Amino acid sequence: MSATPSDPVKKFHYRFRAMGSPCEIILEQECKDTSRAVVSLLEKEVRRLENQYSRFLPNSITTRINESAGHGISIAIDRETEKLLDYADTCYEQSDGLFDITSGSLRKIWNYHDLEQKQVLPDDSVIRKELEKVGWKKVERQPGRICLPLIGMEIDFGGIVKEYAVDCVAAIAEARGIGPGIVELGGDIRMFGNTTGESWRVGIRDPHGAVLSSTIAFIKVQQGGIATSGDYERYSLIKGKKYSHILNPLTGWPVEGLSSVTVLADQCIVAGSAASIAVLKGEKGIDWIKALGLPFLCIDQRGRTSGTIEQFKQGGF
Amino acid sequence: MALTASALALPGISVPAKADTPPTESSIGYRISSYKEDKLPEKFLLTGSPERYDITIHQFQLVTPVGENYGLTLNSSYESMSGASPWYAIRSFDGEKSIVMSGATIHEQRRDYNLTMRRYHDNGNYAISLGTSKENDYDSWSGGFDMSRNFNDNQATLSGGISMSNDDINPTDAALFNRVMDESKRTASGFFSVSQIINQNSFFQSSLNVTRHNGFLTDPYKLGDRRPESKTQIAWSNAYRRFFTSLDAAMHLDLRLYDDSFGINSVTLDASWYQNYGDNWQITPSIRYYSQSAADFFTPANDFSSPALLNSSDYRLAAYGAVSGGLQLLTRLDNLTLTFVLERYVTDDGYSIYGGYSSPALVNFTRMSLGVSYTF
Repeated sequence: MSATPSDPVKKFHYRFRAMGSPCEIILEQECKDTSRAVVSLLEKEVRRLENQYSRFLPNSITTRINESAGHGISIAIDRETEKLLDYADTCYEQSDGLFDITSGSLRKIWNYHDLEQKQVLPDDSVIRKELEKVGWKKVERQPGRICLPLIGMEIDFGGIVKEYAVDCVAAIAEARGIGPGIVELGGDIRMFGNTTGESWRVGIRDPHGAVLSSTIAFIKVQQGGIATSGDYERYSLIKGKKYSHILNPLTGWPVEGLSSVTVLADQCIVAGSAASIAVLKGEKGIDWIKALGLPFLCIDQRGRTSGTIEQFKQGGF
Repeated sequence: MALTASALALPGISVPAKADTPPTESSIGYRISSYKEDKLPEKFLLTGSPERYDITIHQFQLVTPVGENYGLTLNSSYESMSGASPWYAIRSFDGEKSIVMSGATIHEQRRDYNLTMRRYHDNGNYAISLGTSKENDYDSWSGGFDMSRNFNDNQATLSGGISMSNDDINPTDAALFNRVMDESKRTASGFFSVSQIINQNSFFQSSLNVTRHNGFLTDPYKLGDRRPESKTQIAWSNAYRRFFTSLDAAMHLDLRLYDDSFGINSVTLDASWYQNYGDNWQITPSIRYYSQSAADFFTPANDFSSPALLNSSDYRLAAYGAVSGGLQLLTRLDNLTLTFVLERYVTDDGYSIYGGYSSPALVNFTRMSLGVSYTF
């Protein structure tokens, strides 16, 4: 996904890499020096959240929680982490257990690099054994503390924090009075500042396109957040079948059904988790997201699009 | 929708609503100030040096977050003073009141340290602070507690606090000049304030401060100085702030009314205009008017005949008025902020709105300061 202002004159671009993704902040207007200072503050905020929640960084709260798994100890967490866990809990409830931040340990058995080379699928018994360590309801929580009771259990904020970071950046930008502008972090997007009717166009990549940059649709967005979940981002071909890297925590198998779901919501984090839940629900995802009432665009595995977001073909502007 | 409700509870998403946020960045600052009193006019000087105080002040500040909810502030300052100060006032032979200045040039140093630990929570903050101040003849300890709480969706704030201090005074050359030895003073102070956000661009605050001093309140270095052993002060301060979006400027207006048991009433009026130029410059002209009445026991010429009577010729207890004007220049370079301040203070008994005795020893001064702070 990519975002550009409808007005081809982009006054200010700021790019950096964080959370394993390219990040871009675009301001519609000429960037004053204080705005530059604020923009570097925005980058700082993304890095703060990365340092706090990355499961790859040795001092992050995620790593500390995961390293304590099965040791019978509970880890003290700050208010922000507590609220993120509350949010993850809401997602779990709303998705009937499909959105589960403890499902990360399934990645070990779905090691696509090895599986693709050997052209084999993991053994069912191995999957069942790994599923014992998965389950949000197994996590023990008390106010201000969390405990992972089983060895090998882990949590991963990856499905939430990137979108949350985008919202935090927008909130700071608005509090500091800069904008209108747009922040994109690895495909998760949020507009900020008082948009004066000006809309941004966001390109949705064709999940089946031969070229990475081929776009299936453009949508116009004036405000709020926009996020996409889909297996076109990452998939593996094993024995002639495409396997999504999104795993169903109830079955332990990759999800099937929707190639990509894009959702619009006031907050990027809501758009992101709604899109993720829809993909996790497979074919039933379309009905679920319709009932949610948020504008969306679905692309199924045959490349058919459906949804309530108005689309424009390229050149439609 | 459940997802939205849960998302709105996240701290980063509701950033602007969170009024009390601890510092998220550390900063260190240093400021050097020069405070120079004008010479005493020769016509008032009977004997001694016309040079008055020159003070150089070095101030250092460190502000740093501690954990997620605490902020630590360390302030320290070092002052070095030199010059002479009025010793006593008499009527000279021609009947004019005259000042006798302390003979030799005084050299003094003062060191101050103050540490504040503040805890921030969702709707307010509280803090404890400890401080010490040392001079070669003076030793002070202080401690305080204050808290503030936000109401009405953070539109209103109530604050209050108490503080206490103990000062030990051991004047130099006590035996030589028959000065007191080993005296002490205790101070207790409390304040209460209410502030209200009027709208997006304006804000009002009103606060009441009551202070009680007990012990040795006399100036040991002034001949024939004798003051009451207790003092109660009441001050009522009001502040109004208004930001003008179209001008990119802010107006600060302050009014303070004061009354104490020495018999001094005073009024202070302050007006400042914070004008931003572009993003990196700010120029702030300011003007202040101050006037006070004389203390009940103030005398323009010391009466040495009845030493038991309350009696002081200290110009700070006289009736007078003062006008000062200042200009502050501020510039930012990335994480660095530089400030320069120039202030001129002129005092005269003619500026006073109060009647009563004035003093010939009123002081005019010029203050300059240069500050730098770095955020990281």
